[in-house]
Amino acid sequence: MNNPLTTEQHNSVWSPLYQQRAFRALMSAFSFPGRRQSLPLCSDATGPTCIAAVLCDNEVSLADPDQLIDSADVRRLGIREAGVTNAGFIVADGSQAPTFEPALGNLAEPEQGATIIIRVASLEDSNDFPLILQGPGIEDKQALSVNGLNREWLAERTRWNRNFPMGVDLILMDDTQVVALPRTTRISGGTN
Amino acid sequence: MNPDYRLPHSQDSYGFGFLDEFAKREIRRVILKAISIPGYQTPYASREMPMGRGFGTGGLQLTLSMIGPDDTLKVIDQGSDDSVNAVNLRKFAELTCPEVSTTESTTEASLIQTRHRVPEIPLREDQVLNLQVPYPDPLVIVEPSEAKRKIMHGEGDYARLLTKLYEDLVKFDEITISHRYPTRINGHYVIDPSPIPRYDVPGLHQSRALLLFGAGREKKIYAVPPYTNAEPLVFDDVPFRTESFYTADGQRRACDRCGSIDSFLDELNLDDGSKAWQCSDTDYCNRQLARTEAGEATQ
Repeated sequence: MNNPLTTEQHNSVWSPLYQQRAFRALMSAFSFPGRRQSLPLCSDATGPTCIAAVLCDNEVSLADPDQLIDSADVRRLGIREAGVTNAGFIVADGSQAPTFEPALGNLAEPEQGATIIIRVASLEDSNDFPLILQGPGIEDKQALSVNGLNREWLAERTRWNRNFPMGVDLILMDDTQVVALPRTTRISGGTN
Repeated sequence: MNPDYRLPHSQDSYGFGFLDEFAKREIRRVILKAISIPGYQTPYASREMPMGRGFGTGGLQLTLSMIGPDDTLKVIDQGSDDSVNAVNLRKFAELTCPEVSTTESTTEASLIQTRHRVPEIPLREDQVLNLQVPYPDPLVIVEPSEAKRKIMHGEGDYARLLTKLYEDLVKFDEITISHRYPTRINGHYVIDPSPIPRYDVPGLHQSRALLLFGAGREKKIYAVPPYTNAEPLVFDDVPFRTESFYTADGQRRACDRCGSIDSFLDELNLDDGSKAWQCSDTDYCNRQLARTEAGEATQ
């Protein structure tokens, strides 16, 4: 039996142990929307590649309009590249306003709604962008600060998610941390 | 299973957690979608496991796709750590996940896989409960077509299910569902919460831990996220009732072993024809017993 602790290079983003630990961070992020979760340290990838390596393979499609994932990593993932309108996963730069219409799923198959991985400058506390979150996974209210997220994202997210159960799920990430915003999370504040 | 059993050498090259990395990745994607759409039965591929479907393969695939060497696993079957399903699934996890610790203590576990009970001790935010599910769809009793059921679920249309409950009230003055009680999650989807007794249904409401449901044979995964409303389907004028453990003269029955009067009790038929009651959650029972004995020792 392969022992993950003795497998070499377990700080590689491609190693099963890294992917298990990163998945648990993502699962906690989705369970508790708005709470920052640290991704485990890895030696050979940064940014959205860390999440794509955990969740994507040749069974899903990915759109990377802003080219945030290295083309060698895209090949290594064996992923099907697709247009933003029908990709299962979309990687985007949060500083730019979204200019696309992602897949929202349909009434019988709402899980076909896209997962959008948004790269932002920082998820550390900052008064620049205080948001109040409510919904499943949040006991009362949860504050979220984020730097480098174009405000258009929140307006578009509200529009995409207006017909539950259809919608999109967002993962915000900076260099080391992730925050998930599933479609059930209601966001107030921040828009002025 | 023989406690000294080891996999034959030819099978020794299975990866950690038995499932291959592609299978794990698919289940992981599905888990995240299931959490994002609380109560929605998210379809997945459900791989073959080295045990028959119906023996907890759904819960086991959830566990194996998320478990890592830092985890402490507890497996229970009807509240007990020592019944056959729990022992075998725990052995399988020990065999295929080196470095993972297993425990019988609810408070020490980071992952709990369960068949048909929610532990008595309330769970924490850092714990995950994986429930084994035989029949995931509560609408199957009123609508045979899955395509139609999916639309009914999407629209939150449970009128026919409520009619079924109403017919029960007309015929029997009581909703006759003893377990698998239909429960509405976050005000939209109604789930089959697996065959947990009614007693456990209120425990799903605003739980601090993530609750995941895996149906291996039916190939569905669904979730109740933490701090999410889980309301049993009832009528305004007929409140939800859980199992009563009161005797005819109004006494709450106590566990015959530990004396607890606040746990779910199993009814046992003894050899002489009489009945006895005992905690269904063995870890809870042992804790109560240890507390009582410690109290007696200090006196």
